[in-house]
Formats: sequence, structure tokens, C-alpha cells
Amino acid sequence: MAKEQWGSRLGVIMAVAGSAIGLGNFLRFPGLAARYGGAFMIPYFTALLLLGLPLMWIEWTIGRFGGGFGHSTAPGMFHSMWEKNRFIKYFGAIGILGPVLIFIYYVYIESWLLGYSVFAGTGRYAACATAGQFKAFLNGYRGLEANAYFSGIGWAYFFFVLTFAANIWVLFHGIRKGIQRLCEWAMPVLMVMAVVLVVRVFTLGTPDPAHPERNVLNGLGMMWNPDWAKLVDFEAWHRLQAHWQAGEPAAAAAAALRVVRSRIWLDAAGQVFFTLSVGIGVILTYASYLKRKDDVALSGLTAAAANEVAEVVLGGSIVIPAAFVFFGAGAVVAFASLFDLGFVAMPMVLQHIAFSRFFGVLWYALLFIAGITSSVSLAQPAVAFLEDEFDLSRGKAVAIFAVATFILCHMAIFGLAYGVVDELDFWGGTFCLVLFGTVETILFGWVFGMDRAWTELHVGSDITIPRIYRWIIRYVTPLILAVILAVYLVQDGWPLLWMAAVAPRAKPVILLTRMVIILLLTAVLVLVRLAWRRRRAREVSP
Amino acid sequence: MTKTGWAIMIISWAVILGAFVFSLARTLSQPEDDPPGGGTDRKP
Repeated sequence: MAKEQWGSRLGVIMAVAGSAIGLGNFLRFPGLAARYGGAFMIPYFTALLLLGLPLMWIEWTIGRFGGGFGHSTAPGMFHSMWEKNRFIKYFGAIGILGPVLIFIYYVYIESWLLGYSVFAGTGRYAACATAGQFKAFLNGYRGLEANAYFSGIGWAYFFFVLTFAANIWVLFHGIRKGIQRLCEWAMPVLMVMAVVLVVRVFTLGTPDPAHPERNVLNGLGMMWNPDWAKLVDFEAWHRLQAHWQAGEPAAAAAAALRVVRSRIWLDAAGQVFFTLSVGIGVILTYASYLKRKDDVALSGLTAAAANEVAEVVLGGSIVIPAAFVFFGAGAVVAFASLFDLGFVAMPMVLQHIAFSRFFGVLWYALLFIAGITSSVSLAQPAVAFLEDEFDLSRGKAVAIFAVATFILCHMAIFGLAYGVVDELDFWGGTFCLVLFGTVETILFGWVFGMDRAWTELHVGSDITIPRIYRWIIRYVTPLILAVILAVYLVQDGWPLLWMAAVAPRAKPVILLTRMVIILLLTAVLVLVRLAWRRRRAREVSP
Repeated sequence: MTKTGWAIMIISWAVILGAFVFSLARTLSQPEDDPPGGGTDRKP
């Protein structure tokens, strides 16, 4: 069966950028930046240079390399890179399972954005004025409570079905006529919509004369004014100096360990990791449709830079300054979570400005577009695996994926109140990503070999990557990933594993969710085994 | 916004926009003889 192709080089870049640009760019990054201020950009750029860009290049290179052997997903690619190892292909299963787990809840959240863009246009939430009312509206919509706004989950389910169908429709049309065509119009439209919103926010002025300090510049100041105390523990620094001068090296060393605050560095590394869509397996799959001589170095850089423009320049200039202008710094801090910023703070802001319906539709449509270009990319590895390894047609592979994930999405829809989405997000959206990123980085820099990897990265390259990245890819990136993985497991994973924060009534549901995740992992592992048996049988009797 | 805040914002934006414009311009300036894709021009 002929392998699909991208239609143009810009199309591939737009597809990868579309995969990377998602809700995190417009909601998660501003929330983190507001929490830490301008000091956040120092660990953020450090993580981008030492973690984000290297992983981008690693994944583009592995993807193109594996595609040359007829593989579009991680099991085949990992096997091609380390042929003597019988088990490495099973590690690649994470690159199929992880995106599926994320897809299951991401599509549901994406459907809220479609619903809210309709509600913004029809004025359905126009009666809401306070944060409490907007939270009640959101909870009613999601079926978490029956209230004056919604009596059940009907509307949420309706928009979920529409969103799911839109995803499947795009996937059904394939790489070139589906995903590429979507991203080629969606990315420019998304950028224009974001620019329109930024211009509107920057021209808000000082809407409340009683609070002249609530202006856009001070709103931007919340994100950019540095508070160095969030980066460095000055007390520990003074203790370090005192112990050193007193000739107490052990005490000085203990103080030195506390000088740099680790949380801000971990948050920055996590944000860079998640925003670039690395560690999921999506870029591997997208890059597998390239030819051997197609550039990956410049394309990876362009896709990463487009994502950063959407995140730092545009995403950082909408929700925080807007919320600050109307409600002040205290309210912005209170709206720290992703959902609060998107579904409570922003509609409250929009209620206060002229043409609120128009800007409301624009805001939610922007987020929906960011969401759908990401969700179709999450589906592609599983679809490509069925196509490549089992010789299924595109239609059959998409149909199998659609039936399976439609059923699985109901876990997220009806298990939301029990914390199922958080559970899926930890295993699919955090643990699998960091583990997968660590495995592929070690495979690339150590098993495949840095000399070979460097040569492969530069085949057909339109730029020369600075040689320092040989050292960064081999030593620094895997070290950072290992630290992130260890911290996540200790800080978040351990309490999560023992369900420390789970209400007793929710524990059976969370256990059931874990059983489903284990079953899915087993199913993918079995499919990988079957695929290799088929491959061997074909080689024996061509 | 403080002067340091302004400086951090301007430098961050300049670095990111500069990288984007540079990489996009380089990408668009490359000739595209035949469309990328295929991936099967190497033997297993």
C-alpha cells in the first residue's frame, strides 16, 4: 500500500505547529507567567534551549528515519534504530497509548469550546455576572450539577458528538487532504484571531476610573515584572555566605542546595515540554511522511518558533492583562487554573466590553481551532499504526479508532466528577510523555550513537545546528528529563498512585479507569507483537 | 510595569519573533522541487 505524503514543506510545518499550539499556549502559559512574573522567562528560555529544541530535532529525525523503513509509529522506528534488541519496540507502544489516553479527554474539553463559542454568539451566558455564576454555568453545562442554566448534560454531549465527528471527518480524509488542509487554513486564521484579540485587549485603557492602576501596562507587568525571590532564595544565599566565611563547608553546601528554587524550574521545563507536543509520538508520525533528503533541522525550528509566537507573544497578551484591567491582581491570582481562566475569567471580561458576543465567539473559536489541530494529531499515531502494520485502508483504520475512542471518551464525560480526566491526564499527559521523551532521547544519543544521529539530523538540512547541541542532546537533555520524571513520580505520582486526594466515593471509578488504562496498554503490546509476527511471516514467504 | 519588566518582555518578544521570521524566511526561500513525503525511498 502506498504511503501517504505531505503536499508541501510548509504544510508539514503547519501541521506540527498546529499539533503544538493548543489550550496550553493561551491558558496554561499565562497562568504560570502570572504566578512567577518575569523571572519565569529565565528558566523558560533555558528549558526551551536545553529541552524543547533538542527534543524537537530528535523527534523530527527519528520520524524521518523510521519513515524510510516504512514505519509511521514509535514501535517500528525504535526497532529500526536498535535492531538487535527484541524488546525496544514494546517501549514504542507508549507512543501510541499516550496520545490515545490524551485524545479521550482532550476531545471532550475541546467540545466545551465549541459549545461556548455558540453560547457566546447566542448570549446564553449573558445573565451571568459573577465568578460564582460562571462557575455554576460551567458545572451545569458539564452535568456536574442541575441548576438554573442547565438541567442535564445534554448540550455538552451534543457538542461532544459534533466535535468528535469533526475530528473523525478530518482524519478520514488523510494526511494531505485532511490534516494538512485543516492546518493550512487553521493556523493563519488562528494567528489573525489572536492578533485581533490582542489589539482589543491593548486598547482597553482604564475602564474603571475608580481604579486607575488597573490598566493594560500594569496587567502586562503582572506577567513580566520579575520577582527574583521566586527564582532565588535570598535567605539561603546569605546563609551560604555566612557558613562559607565561618569555614563550615558542610553547612554551606546544605544552604547552597536551597539557593535556587526548584519549583519554578520544574514548572518551566514542564510547560516547554508540553507546549511543543514532544514526547507524545505525534511529531514522529508526522515526520515519517517526509523523504530522506527533506530538511528536518530548519522545519523543527520553524514549528517550534511558531508555537512560541502563539504562546509568549500572543497567548501572554490576552487573558491576564484583560482580567487584570477589569478585576485587579487579586482576581487574576484567584483564577489561576486553566479552566477558571478560560471559562470564568475570560467570559466575565468579555461581558464588560463592546461587541462582547463577537469577541466571545472569536475567543472560543480560537481555542477550538487550537484544540482541533492538536486532537487530530493525537489520533494519527494510532491510525497510522493500524494502516502500516496491519495493511488496513485509511477508512478501516479510522473507523476502528473512531469506535474504540468514542466508547472510551465516555469515561471522561461521565467520570469527570470523579477525577477521571485528572487521572488520564497524569498517565497520558504527564507520565507517558516524560517517560517516552526520556527513552527516545537515550535511544537517539546513546544507542543509535551521537555521530550517526548528528549525521542523520543534518541530512538535507537547510541550517547547521551549533555543535554544542551534540553535547546537550547526549548529556543535558536526558538528565533534565530524568530529573523531571523522578520529581513528578515523587511529588505527584506517589500520592496519585495511592489516591491520597481522591474522595472515597470516587476510588472505585479511579480504580476502574486504571484497569482500562492497563487493558489498553496490554492491547497495544499484543498488537505490536502480532504486527511483528505478520512482518516475519511476510519475510519468510514473500 | 517596571523598566526591568519592559526589558524582559521586549527581549523575549524580539528573540521569539526573530527566530520565527528567520526560520520562516529561510524555509520559504528554499526551492521545493518535488513535494516532500513518501518515506519509502530506503530499503528495510
